[in-house]
Amino acid sequence: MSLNGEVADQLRRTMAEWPADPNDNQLNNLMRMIARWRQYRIGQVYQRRHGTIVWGGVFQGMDYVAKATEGALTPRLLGAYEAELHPHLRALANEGLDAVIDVGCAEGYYAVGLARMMPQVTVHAHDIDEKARAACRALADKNGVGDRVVVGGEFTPQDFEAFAGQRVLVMVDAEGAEVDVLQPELSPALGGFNIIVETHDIYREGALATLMGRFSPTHDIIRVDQQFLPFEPPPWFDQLGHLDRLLAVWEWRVVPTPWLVMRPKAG
Amino acid sequence: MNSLNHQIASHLKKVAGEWPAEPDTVSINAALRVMSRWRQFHIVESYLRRHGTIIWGGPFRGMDYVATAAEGALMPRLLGSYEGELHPHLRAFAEEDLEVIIDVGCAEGYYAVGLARLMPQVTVHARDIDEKALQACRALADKNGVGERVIVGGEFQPQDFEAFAGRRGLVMVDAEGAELDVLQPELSPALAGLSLIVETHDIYRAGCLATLQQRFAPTHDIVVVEQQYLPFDPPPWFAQLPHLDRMLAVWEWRVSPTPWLVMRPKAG
Repeated sequence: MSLNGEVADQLRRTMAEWPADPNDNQLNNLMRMIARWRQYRIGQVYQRRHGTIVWGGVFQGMDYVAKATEGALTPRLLGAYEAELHPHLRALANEGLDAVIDVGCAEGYYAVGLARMMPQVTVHAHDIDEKARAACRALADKNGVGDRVVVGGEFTPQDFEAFAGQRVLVMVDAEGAEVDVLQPELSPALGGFNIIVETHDIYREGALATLMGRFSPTHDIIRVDQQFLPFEPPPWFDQLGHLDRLLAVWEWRVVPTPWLVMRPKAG
Repeated sequence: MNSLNHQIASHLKKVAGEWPAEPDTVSINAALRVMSRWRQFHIVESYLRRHGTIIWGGPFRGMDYVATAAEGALMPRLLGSYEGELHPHLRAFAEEDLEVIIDVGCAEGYYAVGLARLMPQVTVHARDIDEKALQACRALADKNGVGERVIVGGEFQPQDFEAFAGRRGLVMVDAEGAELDVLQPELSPALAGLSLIVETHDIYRAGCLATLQQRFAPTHDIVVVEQQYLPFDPPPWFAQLPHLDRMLAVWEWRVSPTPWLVMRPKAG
C-alpha cells in the first residue's frame, strides 16, 4: 500500500472508533497524524533536491540521514531544529572546548554536528540504545569525524569525573533521565562544566525546578523556552503554501521541554 | 448534536468515505487544512478569553479588532504576526509623514484602521466592493476612535487616484487579482507619485506579478517581498503550547504564495 493509502486507512479506522462528538484530544491526535504525513511529504521533496545534506543553521553541510530514529527529520535537514540553542552553541564554539559529552545522543545529530562545528573537540556520545549507537557511529564516519566521536552506552554520574579540569560541554536529552544523570553531589566535576539540558517535566515531574535547584549554587542558569525565530529556507520554499512552510519546521513536541543553559560561575 | 467537533467529524467521515483506497495527496491535504482551521479556531478562543479582541504585538499592537474575521485567518491578526513581512515597510512609511492612505480591498479594516492608528496625521480612504465589509470597516474605525479619519467607500476606479495627485500617499491593494484592473498607470498619472504596497495573486490572474512589475518599473523602485520565517514575541502563555499549536496560531491560510510588491516613486 502507498503512504497515502496507509494514512487514509488509519484515518478511517481512527474515525470509526469515534463517538459522534469526538473530544478535542481525539481530533487533535488525528490532526497530528496527518500533519506528520504532510511533513514527511515535504521531507521527500527536500531529499530529492538536497539529498541528506543539512541546509542551514549551525550544522549546515552535515550529511545527515534519510530516516531519523526518533523525532522530526525535516526540521533537522533544514537546520531549523531547536534553533533556540544555536546562539548558545555558537558562543561555546567560539570559546573553544576540549570535549563534548552528549548523553542521549540518538543517531548523533548533535554529537556529529558539534564535532564538525568544533574541529578541536572530542565528542563522547552516549545512548542506552544499541541501534542508536550504531547509527551515531555510522553518521560520524560518513561525515569524516569518526576519529573524534567516541560512542558509548549508559552514562552514570561518576563518569563525569574523568573529564575534570577540561573545558567541557555536557548536552543531555534523556527523556526525564536528566534528573538521574545530573547529580552534582555524585559528580563534583560538573561544577566546572558547561551544561545544556532539555528538561522533561512530562516524564519526570519537577525536573526543571529540580535541576535549577541543584545547579544554582555553581552555575549561571538561563532558561530557554521555545521561540519564533527567523530562518532562511531553500529558495524553493517561496513556492510552498503557508501551512507547508510551518509544518516543515514543526518539531513534534507535544508539550514544551524548556532547555537550561548552565555556565560555571566565574571565579 | 451540533458542536463544532461533531461538525468537523461528520465532514471528515463524509470526505474520507468518498475517497478511493489510495486518495491523492491533494485530498488528504484538504482534510488536514480543515482540521488545522478547527485547531486554530480553538486557539482563537483561548486568546479571546485572555486578551479579548485587543491585538497583542506588531505595528497594530493595542488595536481593538474583531472576534470573527470577514475573511482570512483571525488568529495571526490578533497576535499581530500577520503579514509580518510588511511590518518593516509599514514602519518605514510611518516615519515619512504621509498625508493619505488609499486601501483598496479593505475588508473589515485591519490595515485601514491599523494604519490610521499607526499614523495619527493621516486620512485613510478605505474601499471595498462588499457592503458588509464597508459596514464592518466603519464599525472598526469607530471602535478605535479613528472614525473621523477613515473614509469608507465602494468600488475604486483607476481614475479615482487623480484626486490624490501631489499628495504624500500610500496605496494598499489586496484585491484577489483585481490589482491588475485597479493599478493602470496609463489611466492614473497620479500613481507615478504615490507609494504602493500590492499583494499579487497569480493564482487568480496568471502573470499578475510580472505585469505589475512591468507597469511600474519606469516610475517606481520595486521590492518583491516573499513570505519569510520571522521572529515574533507571542504572549507568555504561548510558552506552554505544543509546538504544532504555535505553528497553527500564526498560520495565514494562504494556499499558494502571494508575493507583495513594495513600490516607491523614483527619486527626482
